[in-house]
Amino acid sequence: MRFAFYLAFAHIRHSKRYIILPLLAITIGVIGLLVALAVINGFDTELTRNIVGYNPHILLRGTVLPSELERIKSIKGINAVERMRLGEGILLFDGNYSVVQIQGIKANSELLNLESKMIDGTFSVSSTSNILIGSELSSDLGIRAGDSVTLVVPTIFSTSLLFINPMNAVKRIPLKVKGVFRTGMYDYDSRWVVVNRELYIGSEDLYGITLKHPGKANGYKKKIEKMLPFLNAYTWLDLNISFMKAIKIDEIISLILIVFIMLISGFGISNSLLQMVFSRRRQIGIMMALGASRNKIRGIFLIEGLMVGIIGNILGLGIGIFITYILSIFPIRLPSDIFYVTTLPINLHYSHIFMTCGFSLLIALFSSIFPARRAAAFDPIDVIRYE
Amino acid sequence: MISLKDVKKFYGEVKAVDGVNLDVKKGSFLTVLGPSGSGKSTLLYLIGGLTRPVSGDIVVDNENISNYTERELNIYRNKKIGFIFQMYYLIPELDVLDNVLLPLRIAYSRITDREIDTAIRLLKRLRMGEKVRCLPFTLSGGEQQRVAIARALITKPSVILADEPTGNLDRENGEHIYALLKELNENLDITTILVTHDEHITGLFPNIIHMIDGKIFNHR
Repeated sequence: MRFAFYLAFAHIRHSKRYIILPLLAITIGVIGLLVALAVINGFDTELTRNIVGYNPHILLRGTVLPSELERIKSIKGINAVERMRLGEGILLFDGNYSVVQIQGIKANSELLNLESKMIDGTFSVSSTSNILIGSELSSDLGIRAGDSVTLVVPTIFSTSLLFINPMNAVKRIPLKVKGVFRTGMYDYDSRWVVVNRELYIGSEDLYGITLKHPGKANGYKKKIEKMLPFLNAYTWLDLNISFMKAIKIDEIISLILIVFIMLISGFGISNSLLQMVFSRRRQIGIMMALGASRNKIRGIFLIEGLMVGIIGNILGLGIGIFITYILSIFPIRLPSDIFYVTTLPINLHYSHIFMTCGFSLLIALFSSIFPARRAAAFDPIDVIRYE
Repeated sequence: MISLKDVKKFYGEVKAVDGVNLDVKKGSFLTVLGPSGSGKSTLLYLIGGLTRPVSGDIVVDNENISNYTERELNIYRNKKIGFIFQMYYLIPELDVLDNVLLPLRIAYSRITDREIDTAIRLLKRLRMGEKVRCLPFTLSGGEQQRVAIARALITKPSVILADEPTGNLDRENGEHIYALLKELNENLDITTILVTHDEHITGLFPNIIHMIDGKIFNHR
C-alpha cells in the first residue's frame, strides 16, 4: 500500500496536465452539489419556518369543553391553545377586490407570530373593526394602514342555494386596516387577512395549538386524539400536505439531477485516468518487470483517483461554502409571484458537507476502478517489446 | 546456475522459442546474438519470468520457475533478476535515486538509510554520484542506461538480463556499457545474459550463442 501511495503521490505531483481535468470535474460537481443542497434545504427550512411560524401547529375541530381545554393545555410541550376562526371572503377596496383567507384570532393571540413582520401600521386586532392584511394584497389593491375596506363573507351554508336570495347570502363588513405584514411567503402575503375572532365571518369555531417543537406535531396529534377521541386534529403537515409533497418532489428531482451531474464528473475522472493509464503503459510494464504485483499497480491508480477526489473535495467545499456564504449575505431576489419566498434561501448544514464529501469520494473511487483494472491488465511483455 | 530443457514458446503460429536447451553456469557471462525476430528477447523474458513457456522447464538456482504462481514469479523477478532494457524505462516522475530504489520499494515499501547509502554508493561506482537528484529527462542516453543498471543491481540479483542495452546509444557510450557489464560480472559474480544483434561485440565476450528462428545454433 505504501508503494502505491508513494507512486500515486509522485504522479500527482508531476503529471498535473492529467490531473487538471478530473480535478475540475470533481470540484465543479462538489460545488454544484453543495450549493444545490444548501438551496433545497433553504427552501425547505424557509417553508417550514413560515408555515409553523404563522400558523397554528395543530387545529382541533369539534366542541371542546373548558375542562377538556385545560387537559390539553396541561400536555407538556404545548405552548398555547386558543379558539380561532378560519374562513374565506372577498376584500373590497376602491372598486377592486380580492378573494382572501380570513384568520380570526383573539386580541393578544399567541398563535400567529406577526408582530415582528409588520411593515406598515401596528399588529392589533383588539377591536372587531380592525383588519390586518398581507403586503402583496396591500400592493395589489393599493391599500395602506388606515384605509377603510369592506370584507364580504358568506352568511348561509346550504346546498339548497336555489331558494336563497343572493343578497341575503353574504354580509358586508366595513373594517379599518390597522396594519400590513410581510411574512416572505407569497401565498400568505397575497391572500391572508387577520381579524378579531369575535367578528362574525361565517365559519365554525376551531382551536389552534402551538407547540414548543412543531416538528413533533404528529406525536402531539396522537396524544390529543387518544385523550379526546371525538375531536378531529390536523397538524400543520396535514394541512399543507400538497405543499410539502411538491417540495419533496422538487428536492428529489434536484437531487437526481445533481447525482447525474456527479456521475458525469465521474465519467470525466474515469476518462482522464484511463488516458493517464495509457500514457504510462511503459512505467506500468517496467514496474511489473521489477516485480510489482497487479494489485500494487491497481492500487496506484485507485489511490490516484481517490487523491483527485480528496483534492477536488477540498477545493469544491472551500469554493462551495464561500459561494453559499456570499449568497446568504447578498441574497438573490426571486419573483415573488412564482416563489413562496422573496429571496433565494440558503441554509447549509454540516450533514450536507459530510454527504457531499462522502458522495463525491465514492464517485471518485468508483470512477478509478475501471482505469485501475485496465492498468493491472497490461501484459508487461507487450509494453516492453513493442515500445 | 540456469538450465533450460526443451523450452518452447509460441505466439500463435510464430515459434518464438522452439525447443531450446541451454545451461548457463553461475557467474558466467553469456551473449545471445541473432537478428530481429529470432527469439532472443523472448528467451530472455522466459528466463526472467516475464512470460511462461508452453512446454519445457526453466530451472534457476535449482528452482523450476515454470511451475511458479504469478505471486512467486513477481518475487522471483524482484529478488533474483535484474533487468536492463534498450529503452531504459526509468520512471520520469522519480529522480535518479528513487528510480534506483524502486525495486526495493516494490519489495519492502519502507526504505532504510542503509539501502539509500547502498544506492548512492552504487550510483557513484557507475559515475552517477553527482546526479542522484536529477530527473531522467535531464540525463543523456548513456547516463539513463547507467541508472537502469544501478536499478537492476540494487536488489543484489543473482542474474542480470540485458536486452539490447546499447541499442539506443552511440558506439562510444555503448562500449562503456559493455565494459561496465563485464566489470560487474567479474567483480560481483553475477550471472549475466546479454541479448544483442550487434555483431561487433564478438571480440569482447567469449561465450556467445546464436539464435535464429527460435533455435540455438552454435553454442561456443
